[in-house]
This record gives sequence, structure tokens and C-alpha cells, in this order.
Amino acid sequence: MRKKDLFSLVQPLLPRFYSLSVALLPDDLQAQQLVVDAMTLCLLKHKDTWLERAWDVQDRKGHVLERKLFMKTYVRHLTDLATKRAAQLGPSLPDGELVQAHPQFYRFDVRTRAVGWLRFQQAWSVDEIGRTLGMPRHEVIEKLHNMRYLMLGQAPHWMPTGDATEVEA
Amino acid sequence: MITGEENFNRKIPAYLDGLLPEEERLEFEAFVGANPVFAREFRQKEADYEGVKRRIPDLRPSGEQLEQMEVETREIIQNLFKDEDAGTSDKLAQWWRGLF
Repeated sequence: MRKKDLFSLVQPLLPRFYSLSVALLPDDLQAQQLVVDAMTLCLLKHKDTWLERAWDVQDRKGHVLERKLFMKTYVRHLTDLATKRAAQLGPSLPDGELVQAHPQFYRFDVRTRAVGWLRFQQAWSVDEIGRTLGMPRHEVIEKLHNMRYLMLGQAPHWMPTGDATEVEA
Repeated sequence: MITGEENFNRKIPAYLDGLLPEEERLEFEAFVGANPVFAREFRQKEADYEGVKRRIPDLRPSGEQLEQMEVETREIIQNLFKDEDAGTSDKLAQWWRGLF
């Protein structure tokens, strides 16, 4: 794969990467920076893998598969980086419009948000999410279950509703 | 004793999460198709599921943001893969420059 092929591979994915990023860090600038930082990390760590992979300009089906593979690698790095950054930023991250528009979603911790976004917005399977984020299957199911209950205002028996603190599902 | 409906009722979350194996999924869909009362209950749960989806942000970048990310991505690739795809003429030019 050549440089321009690599860019062709990555370019159509950027809007989705931004969408995930902003779901993990609810701040435009932070999210944009996170997309770029995760890209650097992802390409740097897997540079040789991507250079060795074949890229046939005509093979559209192949492009879909390559992008899916890239996305899985990238999502793992983005989520890890977002988790660290959220811990560093802590409460300094402003409660902007996004948090006000999606208050229930942003109550969850970063990894739970990643699970929810991948399942509900990208329709990834539980197994795909688990493998990508390095999470056991039962943990993914538990996070989805809790997210569904809490976001619909039906708290599981062990958790009170209306708790404004961050929820680690 | 668990009735057929109770059994399928328990399977709704697993179905919506895409966790049912192929055979059970088909069996579940057949049951929904054959039982209008259960189908109504299922559609309600399905609507709840869509409600969760709507509560999760799916924000797309503005044109300006996208352009900026594209530029930075190009730069990253340019910097990381400096000499990887140099053609013969590039390599010759590099070799020539190296002489001086």
C-alpha cells in the first residue's frame, strides 16, 4: 500500500471517527485533537502492517474489508486514548451543548459510551465490540443492558435513578 | 413452568442485541409473525431500543473540521511514510542529493 492509498483508506472514515470521538469526549476541539492523536498512534504502531497490505484501486469490496479492519484497530486506540484523556481532564471539561442534549449518555464512563456508540450507532455485534475493546463478552452485554435500562429511565434494582455522578456500567 | 410466550419474552433483549444464534433468531421471528399479541409487545421493546439510539449522539464534523482533520491526516501519513513509496526518479534524486 502506498501513501496515497493509505489516505484513500482512511479519509472516508474520518467523519465516523469524529462522531465516536465526540461521543467519548464531549468537546469539539478535544474530540478533533483526539481523532488526530489516535490516527498518529494507530499508524505509528501498525505502520508495517499497513504498508504490507495490498490495495487494489479497482477492488471496492476489498476496500470495505480493509476499512473495517482499520476501523477496529483505530477504535481500540481511540478508546484507550480517550479514557486516559478524560481522566486527565476530569471535571475541567465543560458541560457544553452536547452534554445538555444527551445528559443520560454522558453519565456513563468512556468505555461504556464506546460500547453503546458501537452497538447502537454502528450496529456492531457484541462479539465484535468485545474483541475490539479487549472486553469479555459478558461485560459488553452488561454494559449494554445497563445503558438501555438507565437511558430509558428504568434503573436496574441496584442503582437509584437521578444520580448525576458518572456511571460505570 | 415457562410458557412459549414467556420463553420468547425473555429472548427479546438478546434478539435486539443480536445475541441469538441463527436458528433461535429464525424461531423468534417466526413466533413474532404468528402471535399478534406478542408482536405488539415486541414492537414496543423495539421502539424503546430505537429510543436509546436517539439518545446517543452521532455528531458529524463540519466541513471546516473535516478539512482540517484531512490535512492533519495527510501530514501524519507524509511524515510517517517519508521514503516508503519513492519511485525510481525520487530514489535517484535522493541518491544524487546524498552525493553532495
